[in-house]
Order: sequence, then C-alpha cells, then structure tokens
Amino acid sequence: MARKGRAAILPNNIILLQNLVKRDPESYKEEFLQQYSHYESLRDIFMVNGMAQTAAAAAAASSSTNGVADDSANRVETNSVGINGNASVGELVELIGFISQVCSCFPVQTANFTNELRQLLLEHHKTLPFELKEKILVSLTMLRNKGVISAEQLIQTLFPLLIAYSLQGNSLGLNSHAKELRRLIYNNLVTLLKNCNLGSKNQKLNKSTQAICFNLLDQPDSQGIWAAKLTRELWRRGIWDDSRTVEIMTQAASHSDAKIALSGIMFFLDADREREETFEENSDDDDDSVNVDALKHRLEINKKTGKRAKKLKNAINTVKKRNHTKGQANQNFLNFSAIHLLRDPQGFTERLFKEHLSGNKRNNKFTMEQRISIMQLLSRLIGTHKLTVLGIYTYFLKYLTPKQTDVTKIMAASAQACHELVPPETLQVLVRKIADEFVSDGVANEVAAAGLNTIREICSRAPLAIEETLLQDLIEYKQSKAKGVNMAAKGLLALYRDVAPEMLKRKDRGKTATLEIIDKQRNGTKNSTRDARLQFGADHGVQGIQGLELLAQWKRDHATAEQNDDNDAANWEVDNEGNSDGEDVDGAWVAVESDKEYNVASDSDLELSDDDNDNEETATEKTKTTAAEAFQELATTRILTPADFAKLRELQTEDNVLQQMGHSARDQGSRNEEIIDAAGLVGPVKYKQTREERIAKIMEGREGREKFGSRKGKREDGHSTTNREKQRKKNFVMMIHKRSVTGKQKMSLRDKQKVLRAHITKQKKRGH
Amino acid sequence: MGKSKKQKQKKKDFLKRKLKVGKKADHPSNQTDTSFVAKTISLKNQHLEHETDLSKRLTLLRHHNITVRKETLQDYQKHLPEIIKTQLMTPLLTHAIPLICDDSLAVRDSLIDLLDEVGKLDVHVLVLHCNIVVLYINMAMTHIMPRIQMDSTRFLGCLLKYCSDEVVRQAWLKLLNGVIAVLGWGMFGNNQASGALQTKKRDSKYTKVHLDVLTELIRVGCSDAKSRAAADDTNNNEEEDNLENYVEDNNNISEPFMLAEYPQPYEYLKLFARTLKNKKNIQTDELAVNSSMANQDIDSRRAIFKEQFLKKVDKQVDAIIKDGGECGKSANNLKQLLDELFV
Repeated sequence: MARKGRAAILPNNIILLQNLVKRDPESYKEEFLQQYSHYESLRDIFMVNGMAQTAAAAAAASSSTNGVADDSANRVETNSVGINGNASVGELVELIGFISQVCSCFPVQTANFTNELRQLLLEHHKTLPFELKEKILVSLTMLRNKGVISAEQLIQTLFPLLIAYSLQGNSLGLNSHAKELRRLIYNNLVTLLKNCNLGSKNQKLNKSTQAICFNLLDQPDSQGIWAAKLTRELWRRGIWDDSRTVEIMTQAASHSDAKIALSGIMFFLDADREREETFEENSDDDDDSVNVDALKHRLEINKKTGKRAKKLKNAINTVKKRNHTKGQANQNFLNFSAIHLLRDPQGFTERLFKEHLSGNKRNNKFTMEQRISIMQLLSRLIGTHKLTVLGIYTYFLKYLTPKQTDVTKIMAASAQACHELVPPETLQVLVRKIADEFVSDGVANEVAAAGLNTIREICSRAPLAIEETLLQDLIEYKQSKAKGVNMAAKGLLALYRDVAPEMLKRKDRGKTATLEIIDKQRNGTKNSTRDARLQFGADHGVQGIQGLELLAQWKRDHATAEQNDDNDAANWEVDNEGNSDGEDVDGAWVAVESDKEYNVASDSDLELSDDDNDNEETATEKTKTTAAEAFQELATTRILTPADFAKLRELQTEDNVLQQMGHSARDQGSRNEEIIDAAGLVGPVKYKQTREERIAKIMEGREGREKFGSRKGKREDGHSTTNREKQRKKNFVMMIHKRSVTGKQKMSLRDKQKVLRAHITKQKKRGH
Repeated sequence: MGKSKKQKQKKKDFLKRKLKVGKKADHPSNQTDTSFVAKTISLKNQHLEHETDLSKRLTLLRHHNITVRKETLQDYQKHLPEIIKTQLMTPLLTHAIPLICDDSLAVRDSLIDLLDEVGKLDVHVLVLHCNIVVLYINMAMTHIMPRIQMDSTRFLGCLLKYCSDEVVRQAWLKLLNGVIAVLGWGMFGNNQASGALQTKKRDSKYTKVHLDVLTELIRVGCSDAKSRAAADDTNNNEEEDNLENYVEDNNNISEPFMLAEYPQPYEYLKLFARTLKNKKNIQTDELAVNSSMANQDIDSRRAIFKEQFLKKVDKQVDAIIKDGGECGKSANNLKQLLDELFV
C-alpha cells in the first residue's frame, strides 16, 4: 500500500524528483538510476557533438582556401552541430546539478561521477560551453562541501584550469568567457581555503597548495602571478601566516618575470598594513552591528512581546558566537610581519639586488617607480635585519640628485638602509654625496631641508657615517632663515649632542654634554662608560632587561613613601606571589616585612636587607639611574614577579608617550625597524593657501559649533500668537473709534514727531 | 515705371507662399529630378527557388511551435527522393534526430515516418547515422517524461527494420537495458520505478510495442545472420539485398584478413573516440566491463543475454502470457523465440 502511495507522486521534472530523492533515497533509487543513465547518454551525445564541432572547425579552417561552395557546406554543418549542442546543454546542466545534489545518497552507483566531471572540465574545457563549465565548477564545489571529494582533489582541478584560462591562446578564443571563469575559479579557491582553515589550520591542505604555488613560481612563464595573487590574498585574510608563505613570496619577488617580481615586492612592502586594515575593518563591523545593551534597554522600556524577546536572544547568541570566533582568530593569528618571517634574509636580499637592480644594463624591465619600490624593500630588509649588502649604497649615489623624480622616496630608502654595522667608509660617500647635491646655498630651502633631514636619519642609525668637519659645516645651517633648514640643522645638532658631543664644536656642545666631557677628562678614561670617541663595531648588544631602569626608578620613588607609612602602621602582610617558589619548601608561614619591594630571592634574608638599604641610599642621592645600574640593582638581587613586569610595561608605554611628545631622547634599539616617512624629510613647508583651503579651514573650525549672531526675535519653538501680534492684526474698523487711535490725531506735532522717531529707531534695531 | 525683371525676381524670393488645403506643396528650390525615360529594361538574372531553400528551413526544426516542427518534418519527407543523395542529408539528420526527445506526439510520429522513409530510400544513410540515433534513443529511454520513454521503442523498431546489424553491434547491452527499463522490469534496483508502474496497467498498447521490439532485438542480436538471411529470402525484402552479398561467403577462412564489411570495425578500441576514462577498480557494475567488446559478435551477445537477462525475461513473459490479450500474443512470440534460441 505504501508503494502505491508513493507512486501517486509521479515525478515529471527534475526539481521535484530531487526533492523526493532527498527525502527518501531508497524508494526512489530506480528513478535516480534512470536519471543517472540519462545523464550518461546525454554526456555521450555531448562528447560526440563536441568532437564533431572541433573537427568541423578544423575543416572550416583548412577549407577556407578551397572554394566558396565547400565553405558554405561546412558552415551548414558547424551550424547544425552548434544548435544540437545548445539544445542539450540546458538539460545536461540540470542533470549535473541534480546528480551532484543527491549523489551522496548513492555513493556506490555514482563513484565515477565526480571523476567524470573533473575530466570533462580538465580535458574538454575548450569545447564545453560556458554555462556547463560554470555548472560543473559549482557542482564540484558543492560536492566538496558535502565531503564527496576532498579539498585537495578540488584544488588539483581548479589550479590547472586557472592556468589554462590565463594563457593567451585560450582566453582569445570565441565565447571562452575566460575572464569570468578566472574570477569564478579564483574566488572558489579563496573561499575553499578560507573554509578549510576556519576552525584550526588545515596544515595538510595548506602545504599541498603551497607546493603547487612553489611549482608555479618555478616555471619561467608568467603563470606564477596566480600563486602570488592567491598567497597575498590569503595572507591579507590571515589564513596563511607562516614562514612557508613568506618563502613563496620570496620566490615570487626574485622571479625573472617583472610582473610577478613586482607583486612579490609589493607584498613585502604592503601586505602587513593590508592585513591590519582588514582586521580593523572586521572588528569595526562587529562593534556597530549588534549592540546588546541597547537592545536589552529597549526591551525593558517597550512593550514586552515574545518576538522582541526572541530577537534579543538571537542577538546575544550571535555576539557570543562572534566573541568565541574572534578569540579563536586572535589566538591563531600571530602578528609577525612578513619581513620578520624570512628564512634567509641575507641571501634573499643579495639575490634581489643582484637580479633586479645591479649589474647588467639590460635590467630596464622595471619603470622608475617600480625600481623605487625595490629599493624601498631592499633598504627595509637591510635595516631590519642589519644585513650587509654594500653594493646598494653606491647604487643609491646614481639617483641622489635633486632633479630626480621622487627623490625623497629614494632618500628615505637610502637612510633606511643604513645601520651601525655598515662600514663607515661606505656610508661616508653616501652622506658626502647628499651634502654636496642637496645642502648648499644655491638650492631651494626644501631641498636643503630634505638633505639635512636625510643625513640626520642616516646618522641616527650610524653615527660614524659623517666626518667631523662636514658635520660641523652642516650644523652651521642652524642659523638659516628658512625654517625647514633651520629645524633640520638643529635636529642634527641635537642628535650629536646626544650621541657624540666630541664631534661638535665646543660652542655647540651644550651644557650637559660639556659637563660630561669635562667630568670624564677629570676622572680619566677608565671609569667612563663610553669611550671618548665612537668606534665602529663596538658592541651595543642588548644588555639586561629593557626599561628596567624605569622600574627601579619607580620603585625607589615609591619605596620611601610607602615604607614610612608601613612602618608606622606595622601591619603585616604576606606576599604570596613572591614567596611561592622560595618559601613553600619550608612549609611554614613566614612573616615578611611589608615593604613592597620585598621580594624573596634565593639569597639569604640578611644580604637582601643590606641591598635594600643600599638602594635607598642611592635613590636619595641620584634621581636618575642608568640601565646598567638598574640591572645591577634589581636583576641581581631579586626575581621579578608578573606584577613587576606588568608595571614595567606600563612604565614603558608611559615613557614612549613622553617620547612621542618630544620630551626624551629616543633609544637606539628599535630605530632600525621603524619606517622613514619620505614626505616628512622635506620638513614643514608653508605655502600661501588658496581661497578654497582657507574656507575649508574655517569650516573645519565651525564644525559642531552653534551659529553665531543675534537670536533676537527668532523663536524656534512653536507657540500661539502673542498679545502683540493679535493687537497688530486686529481689524482696523474695530479699532478706529478707540481712544488710542482717535487720540493720535489730536496729538501735537511735536509728540507725533517723537513717536515717529521712536518707531523708526525701533524698526531699525529690529533689522527691517 | 515697372520694376526690372531682376528686381521682381528678387522680391519673389522673399515672399511667403501660402499653403492651401487640398493642394500640393511646392517643391523645394533645390530639388533634383531623377526621372528618366527608357525604351527597354533588362534584368541580369532572375531569382528562382533553389534546392538550397530546403537547407534554410533546417532551423525550423527547432521552432517553438509544434505545428511548424511537424510540418517541416513532413515537408522534408516529401522532398526526400530529391535530396537523399545530396550533402543535405547529414545536417538534416543531425537536426532531426534530437526530436526523438520532443515533447509532442505529433512531431515524434512524423519523425518516425521520416526515418522510415529515409530507410526505404537509402539504407546506407541511416547506417551512417546509426550511432547518433542510438544515442538519442538511449536518451529517450531514460527520459523523465513517460510519453517520450514509451515512444522510444518505436524509434528503435524503425531502426531495427533497416540497420539491425549495426544497431546490435554498437549498443546491444545498452539497448537491452533500456528496453527492459522501459518495460519496467527493473534491471537496476530492487523496486520498480513509479512511472513504469503507473503506465504499465494503463497502456497495454505500448507494452505490446515494447514486447515486439524486444523480440525483434533479441532475434537480430542472438540469431545467426545467415539463417536470418535465409528466412528473409522467402520474404524477399528489398532492403536485405545488400546484406546478402557478404553473407554468402561467411564461411570463408580468409574472412578475418579481408576488409571488414561494416563501417568502423575497430571502433570498440576507442582509438579516435572521446571518452572519459574511469578507473577500473571503481567500475560500478559488472555489465559495463568490456561492454563494447561484448557487442561485437553473436556468441558473446548470446552469452551475455543468457547470463544477465534470460531469467528475468522468462519470468516476466510468463506473467504477461497469463494475462492474455494483445500483449499475451506478443509475449508468446517472444517466448517461442527464446525457446528456439536458448534450448
């Protein structure tokens, strides 16, 4: 009986059948198999037609010389085949969709199906019509989502297609829709990789895809552009963020094809910024889309309905989910910049320089702009990793002339490429060239300022890059009338007062530096921390813990105050955090003196207290401590707790803020990694503003401000007519006999004049 | 003192002419007269209806209107004797054959008539296009519309009439499967297709056609060509004349070394065919293994039929014979044939 009921629903279109099969695959197996064999016969017809089509096309091509009659016959034939093809395309598309929808219900019967689709696509894509190709692609993606084929298989299908369609020959073919297909395939690839890496990273898939990318870039043709593009996209989205990815891009960057090389180079220059922007955008979206608090509040105020409550619940769920994924994303996402993840920065930089910039003359495949990008990347690499690529400094010399386009960028790059491990002789040439070309009385103010600023940037990285006499000459520009030049020279002066005051003229050294030098001379050289002269290659390695002196300073400042209080109150407290490692061994509670500094180290109590006393003494003597002293003081005597580190971090950020405000000297360590702003090298330039600029500035000032001017007689809130208005509008005939009106005629002339005068002034004041 | 002629003319230029109702407007002053007078007119060539006219009507076979399609087919059928030897036949057939899956009964009927006519006039034309026809018949047999499915056997019957050898050699297994599926004897799964189930009871007329075609198919596929030729001699069918030529020296030992008598003898090797290769280990059904090889000679065809179908067919045929009627008669024929062939 059940059979009969089922038979009552007779499927006579594919969609209906699909619905039925999905609901009850076993009962409709027969129909499915029928449709499957229908698909097979259609496919066979298609294959035959396709062959005929290509053959006919070939025949038409060959017979074009033969004669008119022959040609026309051929045309009829191709025409007919084409029409037949079109007729069955729609049906085939429909059937492929149907089978791929339900084939997970019949895995045994359709074992060949996916393979066939892939073959159709890979081997016969030239003859298939666009709709069919599109459908097959979509179906394959769907099959991947259903888990019928693996992601690797899909990728192995997609990549060759992508390559095939970016070849010249294919994309020029009639109705090939190469552009659409490329976009479709590329988007498919990106979403596929995104989906596969959603929860945790699918390392296997990533590795195989990256291997394909490597292979693509190995070939000398321009197909590698897809590998570069894909990698960059995935990096931007934070899906790939390991050193293998960066390795792909290094290969792209040193590729012989200019387009690919440039994409690799731009990746290293921009990708990290792009990635940050993407993440910021995403977080922005999160913030304004759902506001749970507001929803809750509204729910409290408004009438309570089930619908609204449901809405709130949904909102809370989405927020929870998002927070969850966000946390995960942050966890997965290690924020290393691409340049830091390089495996062999020295080798990469040398190769890049050799292949793209230096050497043979025929290397003019890059435009000037592109060459500047390469220079920027090279200098950034050299600066960040302190590499030694000596050729680049002489290469810069060629371009360092004021007439050069975008010279500020080149100057910024040349400054970026300097660091203290480059031999001073090499850099001195560079600095000399800049000084000769840019800094003289004959050039414009901006040019001189740019030159001086560049020299300052170079010297801040490598103080030995300038000779003493040149430095002293350049500092003479501090008396320049032009503000930019003046400021630049003063900046240079300030730098050398800090770094090497000995190189300055005596009058320029300033008070503190002079005192220091005198002090040193008095004490002899053995006590001084710094040698009289800077030396190349002297060790400036990282010592101790960064910012420790700040912590020491802070402790000292607070210790004295706190100690007094605590001693008076004599309250005891146990510092669990500090004690846990040392004291638990004893297993007994130990009362510890409650000063905050008191952290137990492995030393005995007695020694420690001595140290404390010493510290306090020094604290009272000197307010400022050096890093070395602080290290001596804190790190040797005690173990730093997490709380200490937190405080340290806080102090460091505070100090950084102060630095930003221009309060304190910069530190040497992180200098190399910050990027020099090319536009900033020229310094402040003041032009006369145009009218538009001035108006814009005025308007900017008015933003969010109430309008000025009298508000007399302007009432914005709605109101009824006033008595005065009523009086004024009253009918004249009604008023004519009132005394106030008749009396006016009896007024004396003088009174009339007075009234008139008063009226006039009143009107004037009112603004009529 | 009248004004001079020139002055008058000048003035005339600036006068406004009045337009009057019912009178033609004056010609503009810059008009050119193109009229001419000639004694005779001669035309180089006269446009006459040509044979190419027919080729232009091929697209009408894909017209959306049923009547147009049908009438075009009939029209071609009428002109067949003229065009049967021309180049037009290939495009005509490639256009017409897809109409096997046409929605309308009238169109399919006239297509059968057309194919029949082609077969009558020149068997070779049909033989040449046999593979495409078989493909489309096969497609029709699995079509989702029951009506088209039902009609597919009629096409097959028509084809069997003219190029039976070619058909069985190319697609013996496929067609057997197809016919049996159309009959609803369920070769694929355990339970029957709902469409077949419904129509079986309603259309005994169709079932008769199916049975007849199946009988014919089995007869052609499993019996010796020679014996058939002998039988045909008595019937003296004209289309079998050409078969006789090579049937004569069938016993000749040199036969394997001679040129093959049918087109594309090595087709099963698939040297020039575009097919999708499947991995051997994931072959879905055993039937498909070497299916093309199995179709080639009578012995293998017989073996396959005996192995795969005989039991099922026997069982179903018995049931139909019991029901009696027209179908019973056809079923009885089939049973006799089976007994005769597979003792």
